[in-house]
Amino acid sequence: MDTKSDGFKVLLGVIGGIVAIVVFGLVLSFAPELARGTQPTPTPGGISVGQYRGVPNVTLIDQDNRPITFDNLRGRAVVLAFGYTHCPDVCPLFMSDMRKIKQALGSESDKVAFMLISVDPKRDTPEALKRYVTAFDPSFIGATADDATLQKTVYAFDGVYEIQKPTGNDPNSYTVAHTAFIYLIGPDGKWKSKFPFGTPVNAVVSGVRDVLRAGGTSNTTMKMSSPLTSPLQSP
Amino acid sequence: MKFKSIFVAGLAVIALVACNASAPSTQTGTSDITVKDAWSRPPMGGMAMTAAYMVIENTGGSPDALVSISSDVAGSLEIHETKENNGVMQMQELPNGLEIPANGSVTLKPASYHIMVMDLKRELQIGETYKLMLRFKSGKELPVDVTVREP
Repeated sequence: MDTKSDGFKVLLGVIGGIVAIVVFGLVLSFAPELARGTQPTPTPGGISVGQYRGVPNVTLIDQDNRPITFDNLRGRAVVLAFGYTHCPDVCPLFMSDMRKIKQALGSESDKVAFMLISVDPKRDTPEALKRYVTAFDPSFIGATADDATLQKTVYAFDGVYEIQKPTGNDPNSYTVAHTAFIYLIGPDGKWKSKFPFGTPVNAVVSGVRDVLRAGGTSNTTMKMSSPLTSPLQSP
Repeated sequence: MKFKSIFVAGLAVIALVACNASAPSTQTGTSDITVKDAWSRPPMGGMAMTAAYMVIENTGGSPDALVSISSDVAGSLEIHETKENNGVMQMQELPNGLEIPANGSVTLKPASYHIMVMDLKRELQIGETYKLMLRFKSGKELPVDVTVREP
């Protein structure tokens, strides 16, 4: 390899770098929405998470102050989201979406549980959660837990949450950063897919119908699954 | 390949320079702010908070910034931005306010820029309006009627 050719490659590299920076700059200056990435690409049926992912073996507290586990919901599909009530911007959007999903399912919604798990247990008491979720639909479940249980639950769905420092003097005025997918669990108790924020309601509805249809057969196929597809399967 | 790269880079540089060069020429005069389509979702489930959305337009030649808001119906108001990163949603206060570019507009909308309307002193019903007073860096104050409605 002679030095002339190396020099040429370096030149190409430098030009490539400049082009990349300039293009990135152009994108930033002309399309801030693009750079912010707030518009996810709709994924028909949601992002599959492997057909046989388990759900966490955790006990949460529901809106009536009773213990609730994912096992309790087996036999029904579960449409799940993480959020918190002191979230007036994003959370009402996916709570409204849940209501629309339920309406679109019609009588099939009897076989579906809709659940908000609050990642803000300090402010979201069962009473506060009950007021909040039932304002969207009387059948909606609100649940939360202590921090350790919540961490385990959220992580099992590949999610994260983080309570932010209060910006002002009021220690009760803070926001919580959290993963904002809608998660779909089958009637067999296996986590099937997740839908990015902003996914059209119709896509979630067809995902729910798919898992309801597959509900009866999945216990047989489960035994044939490879453990490699379930890295975070609960014990 | 080489010529194509240089050509593309050249075009991009020219475009960028042109874009930057044209910017300062518009930044003369004063800001001229108007607001339209101001709305809030009704607070859900007894929550004493909501968010306000609107389009803030600046037809003046000078940029301005929304720096503070007050209202008779709320004890605390902040300008926030929701950002998404790998599916994680995060709301953050904009401590330096929200810049409104010269001859441009900024849309406050769900999952983006919004005004946090907190410590509500009364219920807000669908169909009613409430007032916000917007204060800008230029000193301009603008009263806005916000309609309470579903999105």
